[in-house]
Amino acid sequence: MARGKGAGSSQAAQPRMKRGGGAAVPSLTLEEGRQQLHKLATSFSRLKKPSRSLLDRAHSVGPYRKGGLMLVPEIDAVAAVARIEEAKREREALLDEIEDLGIILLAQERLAEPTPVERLIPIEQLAREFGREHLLAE
Amino acid sequence: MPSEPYRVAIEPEVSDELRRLAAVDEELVDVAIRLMLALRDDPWTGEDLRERYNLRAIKDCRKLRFDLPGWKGKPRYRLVYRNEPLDGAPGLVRIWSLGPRDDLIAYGRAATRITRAAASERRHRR
Repeated sequence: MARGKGAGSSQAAQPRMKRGGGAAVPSLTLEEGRQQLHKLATSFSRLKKPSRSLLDRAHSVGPYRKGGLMLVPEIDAVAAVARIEEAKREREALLDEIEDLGIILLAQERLAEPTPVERLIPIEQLAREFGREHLLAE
Repeated sequence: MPSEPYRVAIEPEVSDELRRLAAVDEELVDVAIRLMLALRDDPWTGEDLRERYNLRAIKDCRKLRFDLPGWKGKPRYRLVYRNEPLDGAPGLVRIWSLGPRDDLIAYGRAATRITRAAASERRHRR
């Protein structure tokens, strides 16, 4: 479904304020916000498809059009949260792969110049060095 | 469980890594040493990396995730080791590295940058 009719028609006459990411958002005074709240809620509730960005259909409301409050369609807010969650999952999966890449490189380095066995420190000695001899008895 | 515990030994640098962990929290040292001691009885407890990547370098290489007791999030620390000579045969468990996961990520990132730079240089030379 297209954008709310009411929301769209009110945007034309309203100044737009630049927001994060460069998106320009219609800016309303507090009074305009009050007057248009019902119309905006109705048009937003009719939306069937989330927008690509949370700011695509947002309206900024505040004294002297200086913002402070932002009205966004619920469907857009829910979709934005879902996108953030998905991005977090993807980031974690990518970090896992980079971590394994780090291990692969470490392995290559260690295998290229292996420390002679006699230079390795036995775990029992390490535990004593760190004052953890009590753990040896566990 | 084997009648004879496996021999677990660390690379000299791991001692410094453990000291750095101690600076974060002494309890992390307890956890790390307990983990390494447990490898004497079961060196296969770590995640086998070869299952995910068919690379020769990580043959017999495993990693363990750990953190402070009571930590609610994902474990932030890693222990990387290698079973020598082969899994399935009594041998040496060699601890390669111990520390924050972020260090391995930084290492991996740095390596990808180096690889990218080298690839770009090769392209320029052609």
